[in-house]
Amino acid sequence: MASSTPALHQTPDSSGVPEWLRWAGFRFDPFGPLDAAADPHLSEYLVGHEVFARVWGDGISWVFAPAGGGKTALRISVMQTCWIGQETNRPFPIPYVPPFLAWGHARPSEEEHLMALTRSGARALFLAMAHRPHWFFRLDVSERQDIANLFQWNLSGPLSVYLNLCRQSRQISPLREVLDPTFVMRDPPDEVTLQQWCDELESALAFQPAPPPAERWAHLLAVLKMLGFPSVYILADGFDGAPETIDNPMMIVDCMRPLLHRAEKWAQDNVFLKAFLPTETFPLLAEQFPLLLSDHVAVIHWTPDLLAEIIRRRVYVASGGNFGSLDAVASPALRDVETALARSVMPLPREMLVLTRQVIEEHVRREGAEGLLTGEDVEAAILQYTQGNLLLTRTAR
Amino acid sequence: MSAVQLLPYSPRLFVNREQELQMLEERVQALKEGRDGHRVLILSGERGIGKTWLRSHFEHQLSQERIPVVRLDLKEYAGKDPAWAVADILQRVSIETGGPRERLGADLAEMSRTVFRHLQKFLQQPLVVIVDHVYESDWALLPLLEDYLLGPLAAERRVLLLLTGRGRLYPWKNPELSTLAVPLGKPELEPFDPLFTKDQLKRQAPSQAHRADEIYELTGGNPLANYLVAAYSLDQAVEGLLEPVPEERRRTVREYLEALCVLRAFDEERIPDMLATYYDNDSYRQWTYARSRRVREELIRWGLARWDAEQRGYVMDRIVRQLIERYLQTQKPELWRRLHQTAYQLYQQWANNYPATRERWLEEAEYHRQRLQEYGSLPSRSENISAADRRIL
Repeated sequence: MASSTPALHQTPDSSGVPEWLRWAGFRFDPFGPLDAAADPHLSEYLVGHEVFARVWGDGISWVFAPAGGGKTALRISVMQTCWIGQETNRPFPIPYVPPFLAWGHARPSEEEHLMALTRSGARALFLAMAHRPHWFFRLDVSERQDIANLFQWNLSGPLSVYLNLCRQSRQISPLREVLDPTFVMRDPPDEVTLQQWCDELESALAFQPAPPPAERWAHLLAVLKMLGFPSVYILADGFDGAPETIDNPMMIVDCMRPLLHRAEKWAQDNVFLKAFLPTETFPLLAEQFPLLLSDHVAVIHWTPDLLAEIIRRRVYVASGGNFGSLDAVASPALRDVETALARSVMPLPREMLVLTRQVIEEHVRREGAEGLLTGEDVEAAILQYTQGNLLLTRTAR
Repeated sequence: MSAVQLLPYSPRLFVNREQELQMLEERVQALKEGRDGHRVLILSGERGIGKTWLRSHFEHQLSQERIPVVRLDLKEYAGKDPAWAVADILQRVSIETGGPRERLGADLAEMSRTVFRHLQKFLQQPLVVIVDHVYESDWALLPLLEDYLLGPLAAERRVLLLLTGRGRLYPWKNPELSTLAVPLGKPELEPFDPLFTKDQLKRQAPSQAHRADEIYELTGGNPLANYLVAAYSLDQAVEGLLEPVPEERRRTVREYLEALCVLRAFDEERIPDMLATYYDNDSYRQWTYARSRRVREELIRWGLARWDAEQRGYVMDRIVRQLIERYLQTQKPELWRRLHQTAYQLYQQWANNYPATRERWLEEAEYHRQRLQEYGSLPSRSENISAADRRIL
């Protein structure tokens, strides 16, 4: 059975870093993927466990963090956790990033939100069901029809387009590319089962006209309940993604307002809003929606200690639990490498990862792909960083 | 075969652990009543701390209450292909929970689906699943086990999951197995206090119960060590503690441990010097980093050492280190003295060579100097820490 862990030699990287990592006893590169969605180990090296514990579980929850502070990583991690296993006994996650471009504005009505939420939910269910066709096969005729209609009404294009994509490629990955490249689920079905699912789903289609948005949303929730999901998590992220909201926390609150008015009622029906928002929105929301924010609030504040812990945790996971600090692969002249780095970067996880990788690159450049890290490697990396030569992260933001 | 026989669990020989048992009982009660709460419990701790006995006692209590238990010992799957191992485990779970005995599916995903489909019927009643030797297991096995068994099990409201093991905690993806799991202990199982040590010896080695204080002083209350020291010589007690190491590797592993036991923390840089002194052979000083790493990896593999964030190095299992060092100190005092002397010299040398970390190495050198001083084996004058360095300390 193939592991989801990419082997070091599969990484096209001529920096010599993979070779050094292998020499040092790492199973994979834990400093490489800067995009949380592309990192298969994300859930394993989550730092700030108490934050995750507050987000997870049946309840409305809030995560506040600065831009680049790990909100999306946490949101993706919650989503991946929902998809563990083969059955529908875990919460169903709806990743909700508001479609500002499609709306053309940043003051959506409740109806616009519900439409967008339904589309996101349908997309997530379609991808999940493509991975777990047995959820569909065990339904009766009318239940199958409900599912087929849900997809027909709420996917961006006609259902047959997606099914044909699947049939022609005989795999799910093109679907992911089109619908949600961040979607990760283990164990896609074999070709024959996938083909069978496409055929049976298509034949269940009744071509009924689409109902209004509020009914479509209710239909989605009914379908999820029918499939056996105990609850639904609305993972709201990216509200600062519109030109109007990017530097305007009040605008973000306004944009969310229709959802916030609905949140308590949803919670009674086991639909839980989980919002990942910029720190600046916290005081505004706390003032305007004190009851909603009375519990399950986590504010991520990146201190040097927490940033150092990011690296230690990644080192621990990537070394197979053999060691939990770069100190283990550093000369006796160098101790507490992570803290030294954490004190030199802007307090954001991505910055910390970039600087750490730079230390290894400096080492490889000076001494080759073997040998313990030295103080000179750290100093050279920090110098590069402070002189602004590590442009990757700044450009990426 | 080792001459040492470990005492098998017996309810009448069991002492202590009221708090942990009460916590387990509360969880079982919640399970029976269908109440929500933490359903994943973790039982971890040093070698010999009593994990197996506590688990056995819990099983004994569950059998009296007629609550079904599935126990999986991951030690049985050491060295096996992970996918094969998980398939075998799913098969066992299926059989023990009244599911099909064969043809569960063509792959792990399908097998898992079959197991959980049938499990739903079984879960009209509570079920306790115990997984032993979790953290000692191969990290290639655990992700598969999490995806196809433990993760889905953790979401079942009528299942109590007890994970036992020692060593490297595994970074589960699933919050029920990690952040939301509750440790039995603070956070690990703790050694007995002097009173429980005495109580234990009265039941398990009555003729030695009068030595309880002396034994406690040596073992710090570790129950297995209490018994071994009471029933056997110190040399044999160490052998007993090393029982998880396969017999063909035990002697070599013990030599490594003896060479390193005087250090508060070690790493690949320190291993060659200590082995050179232990074997009285300078060629060890030429060992490459990779060669030293094999030693370190082997000690971690058997759960006899782990990375310690505070020490910023690898530390030996507390009780193993304590007994081995005492063995050296009493049975091979000259070797013990030379090992401390080597450590002292090494750290002094590092303190001189590495100004940025000087204080840290001086502190270690001072520790070894004091150990030697306590036992009247002070380093020679030229090796003493200078007065200036003392001031730093």
